[in-house]
Amino acid sequence: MVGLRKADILGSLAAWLLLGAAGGHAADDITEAPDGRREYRGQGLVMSVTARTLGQQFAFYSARGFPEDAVRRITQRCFLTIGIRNERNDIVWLELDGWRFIDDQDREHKRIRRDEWNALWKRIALPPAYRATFGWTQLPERRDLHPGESAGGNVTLAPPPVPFTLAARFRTGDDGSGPVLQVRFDNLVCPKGETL
Amino acid sequence: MIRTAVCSLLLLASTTVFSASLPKGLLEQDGRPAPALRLATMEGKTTDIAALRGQWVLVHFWASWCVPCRREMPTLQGLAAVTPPLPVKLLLVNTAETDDEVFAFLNIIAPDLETLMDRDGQVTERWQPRGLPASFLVDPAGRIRYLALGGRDWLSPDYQAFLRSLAVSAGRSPDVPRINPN
Repeated sequence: MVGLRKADILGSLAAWLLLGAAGGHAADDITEAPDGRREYRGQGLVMSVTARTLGQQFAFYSARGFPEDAVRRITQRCFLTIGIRNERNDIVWLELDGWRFIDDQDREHKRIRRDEWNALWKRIALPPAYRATFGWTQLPERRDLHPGESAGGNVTLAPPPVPFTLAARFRTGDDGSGPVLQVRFDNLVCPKGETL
Repeated sequence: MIRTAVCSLLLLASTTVFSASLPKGLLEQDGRPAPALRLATMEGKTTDIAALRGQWVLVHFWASWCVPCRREMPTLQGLAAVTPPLPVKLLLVNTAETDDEVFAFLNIIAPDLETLMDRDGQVTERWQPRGLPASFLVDPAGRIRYLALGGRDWLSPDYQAFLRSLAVSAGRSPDVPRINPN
Protein backbone atom coordinates (compact mmCIF):
# COMPACT_ATOMS: atom_id res chain seq x y z
CA MET A 1 0.00 0.00 0.00
CA VAL A 2 2.70 2.39 1.05
CA GLY A 3 4.79 1.25 -1.95
CA LEU A 4 1.91 1.88 -4.31
CA ARG A 5 1.35 5.34 -2.90
CA LYS A 6 5.04 6.11 -3.29
CA ALA A 7 4.89 5.01 -6.93
CA ASP A 8 1.83 7.18 -7.49
CA ILE A 9 3.56 10.15 -5.95
CA LEU A 10 6.69 9.57 -8.02
CA GLY A 11 4.57 9.14 -11.13
CA SER A 12 2.72 12.37 -10.48
CA LEU A 13 5.98 14.17 -9.79
CA ALA A 14 7.49 12.84 -13.02
CA ALA A 15 4.41 13.88 -14.99
CA TRP A 16 4.48 17.32 -13.40
CA LEU A 17 8.18 17.72 -14.17
CA LEU A 18 7.60 16.57 -17.75
CA LEU A 19 4.77 19.04 -18.12
CA GLY A 20 6.96 21.75 -16.70
CA ALA A 21 9.79 20.87 -19.09
CA ALA A 22 7.45 20.76 -22.07
CA GLY A 23 6.30 24.19 -21.01
CA GLY A 24 2.91 25.80 -21.00
CA HIS A 25 4.38 28.81 -22.69
CA ALA A 26 1.85 29.47 -25.37
CA ALA A 27 -1.32 31.47 -25.88
CA ASP A 28 -1.63 32.84 -22.33
CA ASP A 29 1.75 34.58 -22.49
CA ILE A 30 1.30 35.98 -25.98
CA THR A 31 -0.10 39.36 -26.91
CA GLU A 32 -1.24 40.35 -30.37
CA ALA A 33 -0.87 43.81 -31.90
CA PRO A 34 -3.43 45.24 -34.35
CA ASP A 35 -0.97 44.65 -37.20
CA GLY A 36 -0.96 40.91 -36.45
CA ARG A 37 2.40 40.87 -34.70
CA ARG A 38 2.34 38.40 -31.83
CA GLU A 39 4.77 38.73 -28.95
CA TYR A 40 5.76 36.30 -26.23
CA ARG A 41 7.49 37.44 -23.05
CA GLY A 42 8.70 34.96 -20.48
CA GLN A 43 11.60 32.76 -19.36
CA GLY A 44 13.89 35.75 -20.03
CA LEU A 45 13.01 35.68 -23.71
CA VAL A 46 11.08 38.09 -25.91
CA MET A 47 9.95 36.51 -29.16
CA SER A 48 7.70 37.98 -31.83
CA VAL A 49 6.14 36.44 -34.93
CA THR A 50 4.48 38.25 -37.83
CA ALA A 51 3.04 36.37 -40.77
CA ARG A 52 3.78 38.50 -43.81
CA THR A 53 1.20 39.13 -46.48
CA LEU A 54 2.12 38.42 -50.09
CA GLY A 55 1.79 42.13 -50.71
CA GLN A 56 4.38 42.91 -48.04
CA GLN A 57 6.79 40.32 -49.44
CA PHE A 58 6.28 41.66 -52.94
CA ALA A 59 6.71 45.29 -51.86
CA PHE A 60 9.88 44.70 -49.84
CA TYR A 61 11.85 42.75 -52.41
CA SER A 62 10.58 44.39 -55.59
CA ALA A 63 11.29 47.84 -54.12
CA ARG A 64 14.89 46.74 -53.74
CA GLY A 65 15.10 45.89 -57.42
CA PHE A 66 14.88 42.11 -57.14
CA PRO A 67 14.28 40.52 -60.56
CA GLU A 68 10.69 39.54 -61.32
CA ASP A 69 11.49 35.82 -61.31
CA ALA A 70 13.01 36.03 -57.82
CA VAL A 71 10.08 38.07 -56.47
CA ARG A 72 7.64 35.54 -57.96
CA ARG A 73 9.39 32.69 -56.18
CA ILE A 74 9.50 34.65 -52.91
CA THR A 75 5.77 35.32 -53.04
CA GLN A 76 5.08 31.60 -53.46
CA ARG A 77 6.41 31.02 -49.96
CA CYS A 78 5.20 31.77 -46.46
CA PHE A 79 7.38 34.36 -44.68
CA LEU A 80 7.26 34.64 -40.90
CA THR A 81 9.21 37.60 -39.57
CA ILE A 82 10.71 36.60 -36.23
CA GLY A 83 12.28 38.78 -33.56
CA ILE A 84 14.11 37.33 -30.56
CA ARG A 85 15.76 39.13 -27.66
CA ASN A 86 17.73 37.37 -24.96
CA GLU A 87 16.96 39.06 -21.64
CA ARG A 88 18.55 36.30 -19.60
CA ASN A 89 21.96 36.29 -17.98
CA ASP A 90 23.13 33.25 -19.95
CA ILE A 91 23.44 32.30 -23.60
CA VAL A 92 20.30 31.33 -25.52
CA TRP A 93 20.86 29.08 -28.54
CA LEU A 94 18.89 29.93 -31.65
CA GLU A 95 18.80 26.69 -33.67
CA LEU A 96 16.19 26.58 -36.39
CA ASP A 97 16.67 22.86 -36.96
CA GLY A 98 15.00 22.36 -33.57
CA TRP A 99 11.85 24.32 -34.51
CA ARG A 100 8.70 22.57 -35.70
CA PHE A 101 5.74 23.77 -37.76
CA ILE A 102 2.81 21.47 -37.10
CA ASP A 103 -0.90 21.64 -37.92
CA ASP A 104 -3.75 20.24 -35.84
CA GLN A 105 -3.59 16.95 -37.76
CA ASP A 106 0.00 16.58 -36.50
CA ARG A 107 1.32 17.09 -40.00
CA GLU A 108 4.70 18.72 -40.05
CA HIS A 109 5.32 21.54 -42.52
CA LYS A 110 8.85 21.80 -43.76
CA ARG A 111 10.89 24.92 -43.26
CA ILE A 112 12.93 26.11 -46.24
CA ARG A 113 16.53 26.19 -45.18
CA ARG A 114 18.99 28.90 -46.12
CA ASP A 115 21.02 26.49 -48.28
CA GLU A 116 17.88 25.61 -50.25
CA TRP A 117 17.30 29.28 -51.04
CA ASN A 118 20.98 29.64 -51.97
CA ALA A 119 20.69 26.69 -54.35
CA LEU A 120 17.63 28.29 -55.95
CA TRP A 121 19.37 31.63 -56.35
CA LYS A 122 22.34 29.90 -57.93
CA ARG A 123 20.06 28.04 -60.34
CA ILE A 124 18.36 31.23 -61.55
CA ALA A 125 21.65 33.20 -61.46
CA LEU A 126 20.41 35.84 -59.04
CA PRO A 127 23.07 38.58 -58.87
CA PRO A 128 25.23 38.54 -55.69
CA ALA A 129 23.87 41.83 -54.28
CA TYR A 130 20.33 40.42 -54.18
CA ARG A 131 21.55 37.14 -52.70
CA ALA A 132 23.32 39.11 -49.98
CA THR A 133 20.26 41.23 -49.18
CA PHE A 134 18.01 38.17 -49.15
CA GLY A 135 20.45 36.35 -46.87
CA TRP A 136 20.64 39.21 -44.36
CA THR A 137 16.83 39.38 -44.19
CA GLN A 138 16.64 35.73 -43.08
CA LEU A 139 16.89 34.63 -39.45
CA PRO A 140 20.26 32.93 -38.81
CA GLU A 141 20.09 29.12 -38.90
CA ARG A 142 22.16 28.92 -35.73
CA ARG A 143 23.36 31.59 -33.30
CA ASP A 144 24.47 31.85 -29.68
CA LEU A 145 22.51 34.84 -28.43
CA HIS A 146 24.45 36.61 -25.69
CA PRO A 147 22.71 38.40 -22.81
CA GLY A 148 21.02 41.48 -24.23
CA GLU A 149 21.48 40.37 -27.83
CA SER A 150 18.70 40.41 -30.41
CA ALA A 151 18.26 38.57 -33.68
CA GLY A 152 15.65 39.16 -36.31
CA GLY A 153 14.70 37.97 -39.76
CA ASN A 154 12.43 35.77 -41.77
CA VAL A 155 11.76 32.08 -41.49
CA THR A 156 10.19 30.60 -44.62
CA LEU A 157 8.13 27.56 -45.46
CA ALA A 158 5.81 26.25 -48.16
CA PRO A 159 2.47 27.83 -47.21
CA PRO A 160 0.53 25.35 -45.07
CA PRO A 161 -3.08 25.21 -46.32
CA VAL A 162 -4.40 25.24 -42.75
CA PRO A 163 -3.54 27.10 -39.53
CA PHE A 164 -0.42 25.78 -37.87
CA THR A 165 1.68 26.00 -34.72
CA LEU A 166 5.28 27.13 -34.45
CA ALA A 167 6.96 25.19 -31.65
CA ALA A 168 10.34 26.74 -30.92
CA ARG A 169 12.85 25.38 -28.46
CA PHE A 170 16.02 27.02 -27.21
CA ARG A 171 18.90 25.44 -25.34
CA THR A 172 20.62 27.71 -22.85
CA GLY A 173 24.05 28.12 -21.28
CA ASP A 174 27.55 28.23 -22.78
CA ASP A 175 27.45 24.58 -23.82
CA GLY A 176 23.68 24.35 -24.17
CA SER A 177 23.25 22.21 -21.09
CA GLY A 178 21.07 24.71 -19.18
CA PRO A 179 17.27 24.70 -19.02
CA VAL A 180 15.50 24.25 -22.36
CA LEU A 181 13.07 27.06 -23.16
CA GLN A 182 10.01 26.27 -25.21
CA VAL A 183 7.66 28.74 -26.84
CA ARG A 184 4.59 27.93 -28.91
CA PHE A 185 2.67 30.18 -31.27
CA ASP A 186 -0.68 28.58 -32.20
CA ASN A 187 -3.05 29.32 -35.04
CA LEU A 188 -0.57 30.94 -37.36
CA VAL A 189 -1.91 31.52 -40.84
CA CYS A 190 -0.03 32.25 -44.01
CA PRO A 191 -2.08 34.75 -45.96
CA LYS A 192 -2.85 33.65 -49.50
CA GLY A 193 -5.04 34.51 -52.44
CA GLU A 194 -4.04 38.17 -52.39
CA THR A 195 -3.83 39.87 -55.75
CA LEU A 196 -0.39 41.30 -56.35
CA MET B 1 55.39 27.83 -6.98
CA ILE B 2 53.67 30.27 -4.61
CA ARG B 3 54.95 33.14 -6.73
CA THR B 4 53.54 31.47 -9.86
CA ALA B 5 50.17 31.00 -8.18
CA VAL B 6 50.08 34.63 -7.02
CA CYS B 7 51.00 35.84 -10.51
CA SER B 8 48.27 33.66 -12.04
CA LEU B 9 45.72 35.02 -9.59
CA LEU B 10 46.74 38.61 -10.33
CA LEU B 11 46.54 37.97 -14.06
CA LEU B 12 43.11 36.39 -13.64
CA ALA B 13 41.95 39.29 -11.50
CA SER B 14 43.14 41.91 -13.99
CA THR B 15 41.48 40.05 -16.88
CA THR B 16 38.23 39.83 -14.95
CA VAL B 17 38.28 43.53 -14.07
CA PHE B 18 38.94 44.45 -17.71
CA SER B 19 36.17 42.18 -18.97
CA ALA B 20 33.76 43.42 -16.33
CA SER B 21 34.34 47.01 -17.43
CA LEU B 22 33.14 46.39 -20.98
CA PRO B 23 29.90 48.20 -21.77
CA LYS B 24 26.81 46.05 -22.22
CA GLY B 25 26.56 44.61 -25.71
CA LEU B 26 30.30 44.64 -26.41
CA LEU B 27 32.01 41.28 -26.81
CA GLU B 28 35.75 40.76 -26.59
CA GLN B 29 37.15 39.00 -29.67
CA ASP B 30 40.12 36.71 -30.23
CA GLY B 31 42.32 39.23 -32.02
CA ARG B 32 42.09 37.58 -35.43
CA PRO B 33 43.38 39.73 -38.30
CA ALA B 34 40.69 41.96 -39.77
CA PRO B 35 39.64 40.75 -43.24
CA ALA B 36 40.51 42.89 -46.27
CA LEU B 37 38.30 45.93 -46.73
CA ARG B 38 38.86 48.21 -49.69
CA LEU B 39 35.73 49.99 -50.83
CA ALA B 40 34.61 53.28 -52.33
CA THR B 41 31.95 55.80 -51.35
CA MET B 42 29.13 56.78 -53.72
CA GLU B 43 31.40 59.59 -54.92
CA GLY B 44 34.18 57.12 -55.72
CA LYS B 45 36.52 57.95 -52.81
CA THR B 46 38.30 54.71 -51.86
CA THR B 47 39.34 53.65 -48.37
CA ASP B 48 41.56 50.67 -47.58
CA ILE B 49 41.55 49.56 -43.96
CA ALA B 50 45.15 48.40 -44.38
CA ALA B 51 46.15 52.06 -44.72
CA LEU B 52 44.64 52.83 -41.30
CA ARG B 53 47.14 50.78 -39.30
CA GLY B 54 48.28 52.61 -36.20
CA GLN B 55 44.82 53.70 -35.09
CA TRP B 56 41.66 52.09 -33.76
CA VAL B 57 38.99 51.67 -36.43
CA LEU B 58 35.27 51.19 -35.82
CA VAL B 59 33.88 49.27 -38.80
CA HIS B 60 30.09 49.45 -38.89
CA PHE B 61 28.02 47.31 -41.29
CA TRP B 62 24.48 48.46 -42.01
CA ALA B 63 21.53 48.46 -44.42
CA SER B 64 18.64 50.89 -44.81
CA TRP B 65 15.97 48.19 -44.37
CA CYS B 66 17.30 47.18 -40.96
CA VAL B 67 15.25 48.75 -38.16
CA PRO B 68 17.98 48.83 -35.46
CA CYS B 69 20.29 50.55 -38.00
CA ARG B 70 17.84 53.43 -38.10
CA ARG B 71 18.16 53.88 -34.32
CA GLU B 72 21.91 53.38 -34.11
CA MET B 73 23.05 55.55 -37.01
CA PRO B 74 22.37 58.97 -35.38
CA THR B 75 24.48 57.94 -32.39
CA LEU B 76 27.37 57.11 -34.75
CA GLN B 77 26.95 60.50 -36.37
CA GLY B 78 27.05 62.05 -32.91
CA LEU B 79 30.50 60.58 -32.25
CA ALA B 80 32.02 63.10 -34.62
CA ALA B 81 30.84 65.96 -32.40
CA VAL B 82 32.22 64.55 -29.17
CA THR B 83 34.91 66.66 -27.51
CA PRO B 84 37.68 66.03 -26.96
CA PRO B 85 37.71 63.85 -30.07
CA LEU B 86 37.59 60.10 -29.59
CA PRO B 87 40.60 58.01 -30.63
CA VAL B 88 38.70 56.00 -33.24
CA LYS B 89 38.32 56.23 -37.00
CA LEU B 90 34.78 55.39 -38.14
CA LEU B 91 34.17 53.38 -41.31
CA LEU B 92 30.57 52.77 -42.37
CA VAL B 93 29.94 49.94 -44.80
CA ASN B 94 26.57 49.64 -46.50
CA THR B 95 25.68 46.07 -47.41
CA ALA B 96 24.49 45.42 -50.97
CA GLU B 97 22.27 48.45 -51.58
CA THR B 98 22.06 50.98 -54.36
CA ASP B 99 23.09 54.64 -54.30
CA ASP B 100 19.43 55.68 -54.31
CA GLU B 101 18.56 53.54 -51.30
CA VAL B 102 21.58 54.70 -49.33
CA PHE B 103 21.14 58.35 -50.21
CA ALA B 104 17.45 58.31 -49.28
CA PHE B 105 18.31 56.83 -45.88
CA LEU B 106 21.44 58.76 -44.89
CA ASN B 107 20.12 62.08 -46.12
CA ILE B 108 17.35 61.86 -43.52
CA ILE B 109 18.83 59.78 -40.70
CA ALA B 110 22.47 60.91 -40.59
CA PRO B 111 23.25 63.49 -43.27
CA ASP B 112 26.79 64.17 -41.97
CA LEU B 113 27.93 60.60 -42.49
CA GLU B 114 29.50 59.05 -45.54
CA THR B 115 29.46 55.35 -46.19
CA LEU B 116 31.52 52.89 -48.14
CA MET B 117 29.48 50.81 -50.58
CA ASP B 118 29.80 47.03 -50.48
CA ARG B 119 27.79 46.76 -53.67
CA ASP B 120 27.69 42.98 -54.00
CA GLY B 121 27.83 42.21 -50.27
CA GLN B 122 31.00 40.16 -50.57
CA VAL B 123 33.11 42.24 -48.16
CA THR B 124 30.38 41.96 -45.54
CA GLU B 125 30.37 38.18 -46.03
CA ARG B 126 34.12 38.05 -45.38
CA TRP B 127 33.74 39.91 -42.08
CA GLN B 128 30.92 37.59 -40.99
CA PRO B 129 28.89 39.94 -38.78
CA ARG B 130 26.35 38.23 -36.53
CA GLY B 131 23.62 40.29 -38.18
CA LEU B 132 22.95 43.86 -39.27
CA PRO B 133 23.85 46.26 -37.84
CA ALA B 134 27.21 45.08 -36.53
CA SER B 135 30.30 46.98 -35.43
CA PHE B 136 33.85 45.70 -35.14
CA LEU B 137 36.63 47.49 -33.30
CA VAL B 138 39.96 46.88 -35.01
CA ASP B 139 43.10 47.68 -33.05
CA PRO B 140 46.11 49.65 -34.34
CA ALA B 141 47.78 46.38 -35.37
CA GLY B 142 44.83 45.48 -37.61
CA ARG B 143 43.29 42.84 -35.34
CA ILE B 144 39.63 42.52 -34.37
CA ARG B 145 39.42 43.12 -30.62
CA TYR B 146 35.74 43.82 -29.97
CA LEU B 147 32.37 43.21 -31.55
CA ALA B 148 29.40 45.41 -30.67
CA LEU B 149 26.08 43.64 -30.89
CA GLY B 150 23.60 45.46 -33.10
CA GLY B 151 21.79 48.62 -32.11
CA ARG B 152 24.17 50.25 -29.58
CA ASP B 153 23.94 53.79 -28.27
CA TRP B 154 27.48 55.00 -28.99
CA LEU B 155 26.82 58.28 -27.20
CA SER B 156 26.00 56.64 -23.88
CA PRO B 157 28.46 57.40 -21.07
CA ASP B 158 29.73 53.80 -20.80
CA TYR B 159 30.49 53.59 -24.52
CA GLN B 160 32.10 57.03 -24.49
CA ALA B 161 34.31 56.03 -21.58
CA PHE B 162 35.21 52.77 -23.26
CA LEU B 163 36.12 54.39 -26.59
CA ARG B 164 38.21 56.96 -24.77
CA SER B 165 40.02 54.19 -22.91
CA LEU B 166 41.22 52.73 -26.21
CA ALA B 167 43.81 55.47 -26.58
CA VAL B 168 45.29 54.50 -23.25
CA SER B 169 45.28 50.78 -24.09
CA ALA B 170 47.06 51.57 -27.36
CA GLY B 171 49.66 53.47 -25.35
CA ARG B 172 48.98 56.78 -26.99
CA SER B 173 47.57 60.10 -25.96
CA PRO B 174 43.79 60.32 -26.36
CA ASP B 175 43.99 63.54 -28.29
CA VAL B 176 46.19 62.35 -31.16
CA PRO B 177 43.82 60.49 -33.50
CA ARG B 178 40.26 61.73 -33.83
CA ILE B 179 36.92 60.38 -34.82
CA ASN B 180 36.30 61.09 -38.45
CA PRO B 181 32.98 60.33 -40.07
CA ASN B 182 34.42 60.55 -43.58
